[in-house]
Amino acid sequence: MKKLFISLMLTLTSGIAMASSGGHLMDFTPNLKDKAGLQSGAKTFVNYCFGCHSMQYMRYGRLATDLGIPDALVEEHFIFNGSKISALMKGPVAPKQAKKWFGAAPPDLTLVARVRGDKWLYTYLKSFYLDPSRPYGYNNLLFKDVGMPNVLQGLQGDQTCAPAYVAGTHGRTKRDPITHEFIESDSTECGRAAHVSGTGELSPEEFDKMVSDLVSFLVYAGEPVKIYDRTFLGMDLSQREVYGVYSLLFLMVLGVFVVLLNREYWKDIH
Amino acid sequence: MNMLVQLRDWVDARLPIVRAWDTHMGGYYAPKNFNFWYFFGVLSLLVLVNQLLTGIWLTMMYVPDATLAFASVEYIMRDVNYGWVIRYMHSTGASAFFFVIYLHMFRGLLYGSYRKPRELVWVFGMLIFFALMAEAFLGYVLPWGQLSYWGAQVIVSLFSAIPFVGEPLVEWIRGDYLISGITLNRFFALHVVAIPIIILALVALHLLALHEVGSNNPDGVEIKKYKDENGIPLDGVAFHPYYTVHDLVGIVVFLMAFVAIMFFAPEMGGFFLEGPNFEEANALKTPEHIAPVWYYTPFYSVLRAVPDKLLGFIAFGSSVAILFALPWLDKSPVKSIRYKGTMTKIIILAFVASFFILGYLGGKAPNPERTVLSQICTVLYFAFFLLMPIWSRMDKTKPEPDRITMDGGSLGATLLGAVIVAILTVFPIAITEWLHAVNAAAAH
Repeated sequence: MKKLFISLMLTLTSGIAMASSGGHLMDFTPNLKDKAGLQSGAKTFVNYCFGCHSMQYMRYGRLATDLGIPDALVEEHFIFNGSKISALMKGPVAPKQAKKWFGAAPPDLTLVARVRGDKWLYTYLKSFYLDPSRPYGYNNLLFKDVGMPNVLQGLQGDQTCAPAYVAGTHGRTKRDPITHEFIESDSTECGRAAHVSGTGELSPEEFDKMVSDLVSFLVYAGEPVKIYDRTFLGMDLSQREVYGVYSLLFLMVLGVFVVLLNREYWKDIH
Repeated sequence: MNMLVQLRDWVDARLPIVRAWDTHMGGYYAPKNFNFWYFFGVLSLLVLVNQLLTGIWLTMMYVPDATLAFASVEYIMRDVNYGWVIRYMHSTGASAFFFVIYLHMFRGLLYGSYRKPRELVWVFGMLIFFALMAEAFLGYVLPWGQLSYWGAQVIVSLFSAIPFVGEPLVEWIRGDYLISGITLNRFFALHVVAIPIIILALVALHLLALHEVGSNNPDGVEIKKYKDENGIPLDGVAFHPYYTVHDLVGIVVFLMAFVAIMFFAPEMGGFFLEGPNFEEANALKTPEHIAPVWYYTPFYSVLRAVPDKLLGFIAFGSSVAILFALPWLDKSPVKSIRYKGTMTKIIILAFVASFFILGYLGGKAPNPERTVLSQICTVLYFAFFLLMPIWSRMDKTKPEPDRITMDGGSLGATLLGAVIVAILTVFPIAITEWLHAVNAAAAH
């Protein structure tokens, strides 16, 4: 009976965990405090994504102010179509044309982090692998038969399909007790994209950092008020959260007076 | 000061403002034993004002045009100064509205506030709930995201189940052969003009009817039975100042929760603002999973529990409509849960649990095991109301006190009730999900 109960509870909690992560997503926490990282993410976005994807609800000027990039630099390196700094980041390709070229128009990326989630984006960008059956030679483990070419291939190098690692308990991956290496399963199915060592301009660590910065930048772009604003009582607060803290502090003070007022009026009522 | 008094008297000679104040505030006597549950009426009013004010400001910037609506919401979120605050106040307010209204209705159920002579108070309240469901549905379409579009598609097409007139009716509602900019425009008109006027009128009627018969209280006894020589109920206190200062405490606590959600978790993990709705509406791309917002899910579950389209629609409508009949279904000799027997308490807890389970299931993709559970809970939901004339009469009640009590009821009993509801909710869901996992593994 006890066993049944435990297995019930485990199924329920694992069901909840699955639902919130949407499958095999890699762990990732965006960093909206690291300005240099966000700047580098913006640079990667403009150099590698902005050629096909727009960011049409974001303005160049907002990005410049929030990330602390001088306007002149943004005008020189981010704007390719003569737009003003106050303009929306529409991107160079008209959606109609893009649809003709790629079959489907590449989606606008302003809100992609709010639609897909940061973990999804991080996993997606790290899950391209060699697949000769695809028109551009690459497939994606998370987004099967995706239309997007592997644009970061030059930086990352190649990845090939490998068997998945054996899962351990509590959502962790099992390690070999002697070597402490992850253990590959016997299955021949494609379970993970493994880096081919020696390929790519960046080392795997450098590539991870670059993708992290890019995804953090996309999280910022999805909701600009999420950017780090100040540290208060040891808490890192975003612009949005600063208002929350001040509102709560105000309400706490007001609450004291309101409770005293109420007590004063009600003290004679029994 | 003298000038102000003169002005008041001048107006009062032409419009009875002193009498109105007296009837509804300073001279309105409410029972003095209100507890925690009695905050949710005033909180509903607070959220209503919040929705009206933020709504007016959103209307100044929002563009009801299929090609511009989505972009105009992002314009509000990014380019309008503090536009994001206004938008989050409105979106959080929508969920908060249902939260406080559900608790307000549950309060009525606990203490029999719908019983004679307060039937009309309940009926007007139910009409407000009904109008609110329409208002929230229409408002959800306006941001013109994927779930706005496809949610509208699913809900509007429900009407096609009606025999003979179904299809033309749906076309008439949409104003088009599919959900389009025309639909968006009329939904905007209904959301910002028509339904708010109806809601305000109903709120006025709800309060007028309430102040005519007087408030119920946790003991469910009439305070008007015992009055002093001036005709003032012995167990009543003037609404102003006693309940105005009292409600301020509840308002501050509520606002703390409200701003915490608004500024720290405005999406509330996808329950208040759903991820797929940050993608612009696309008539050619159906989302993988279309689920209504959390406050509709119990009724949506009832809809899906019935395999037939027309019967499902009827069950869906009935699940809301049956609440109107509550004053005439309850035959218990006492009003308040405090003096009802164990049987009633168990039945109410089971009812709440089945409502929660329906709510959980309505947000999930259906599978055979979940469908069975939703059917069981649908039967329980309707049985609660349809069999109420029988079980409410059978119950062994305790005698009501003559006058109200001030001990505040039993906190232990309330907490025990919450724990029982939690167990009754979680256990059936856990068993269902486990059965599904086992069956899926067996089928593999």
